[in-house]
Amino acid sequence: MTPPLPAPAPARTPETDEFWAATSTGRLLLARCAQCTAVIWYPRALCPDCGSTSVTWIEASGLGTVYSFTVVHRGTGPYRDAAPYVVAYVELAEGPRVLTNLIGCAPDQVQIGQRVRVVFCDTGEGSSLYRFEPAEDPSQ
Amino acid sequence: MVIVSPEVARDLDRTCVKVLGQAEAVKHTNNGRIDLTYTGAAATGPRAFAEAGVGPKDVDYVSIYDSFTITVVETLEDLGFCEKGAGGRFVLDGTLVAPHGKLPFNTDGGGLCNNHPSNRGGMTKVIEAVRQLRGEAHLAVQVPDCQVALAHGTGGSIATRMGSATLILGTEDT
Ligand SMILES: [Zn+2]
Repeated sequence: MTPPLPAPAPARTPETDEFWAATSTGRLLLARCAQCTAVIWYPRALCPDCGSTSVTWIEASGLGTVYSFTVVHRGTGPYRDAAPYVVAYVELAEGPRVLTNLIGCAPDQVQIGQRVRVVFCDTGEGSSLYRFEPAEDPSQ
Repeated sequence: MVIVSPEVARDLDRTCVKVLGQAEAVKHTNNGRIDLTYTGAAATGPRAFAEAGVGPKDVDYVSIYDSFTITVVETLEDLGFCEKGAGGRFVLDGTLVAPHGKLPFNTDGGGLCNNHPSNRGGMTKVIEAVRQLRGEAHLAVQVPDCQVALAHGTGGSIATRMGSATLILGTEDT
């Protein structure tokens, strides 16, 4: 049995403090440009599409699909004993492709296009890491 | 690596090679819209070939940075050696094998067998391309009549942000 993935606390900056604070209450926030309406990823105070600094937070649905993934068989640092584990790009329903981990699923069961939902892994330091797990398929 | 003007090169008692064309580019995550199906070579390849006045069919030898299998396959596609998505089929059946494959490749053994880690991938790629053009590669892999060589480097991470550079070199006669 593989131990759960470690959840090291992220570095917080003034730009991302509200984002990380929300994760500790189970919410995934996305920055959105008030000027051109682009959803911004990664979170920041400036729209990379149009340059506007008028940025607001919206709450993501937490739903998405697997855009691509890889299975790590030899972790390093805090992930040393965690392999095998899955590193994936999840395409959120709101658009951005987010680099993350898939958990709650055997690595050899992951598929591109698979529907997933966000889960939060507590770092113990006032934040949680956003990861994803398989979502129920409503067609089944 | 020493780069000199044509005037200086004339007086050297060493076989030189010419820089025919080059280009550099960066690729990034594009505000959450990353596309993993292409590399920065999609930008540098066409520009370097245009400057050199040659095309992929004119290349006798390639050095391509080979951090992972997918790095090479995507780069071959992006540089125009085959159609996009056809890289896997392209490398089957000895295409990249020196000296007589259709596109002899990384005859120094590449990163895994020869020079990575501990060396910078881009520089070693240029060195072997120069050896091929000078006729100084290992006899078992020297490409006969090698006139045009291409070296391509990839830095960073192809999964997030990368820098790409393409260099097209030719013999003194090109
Ligand atoms: Zn904007």
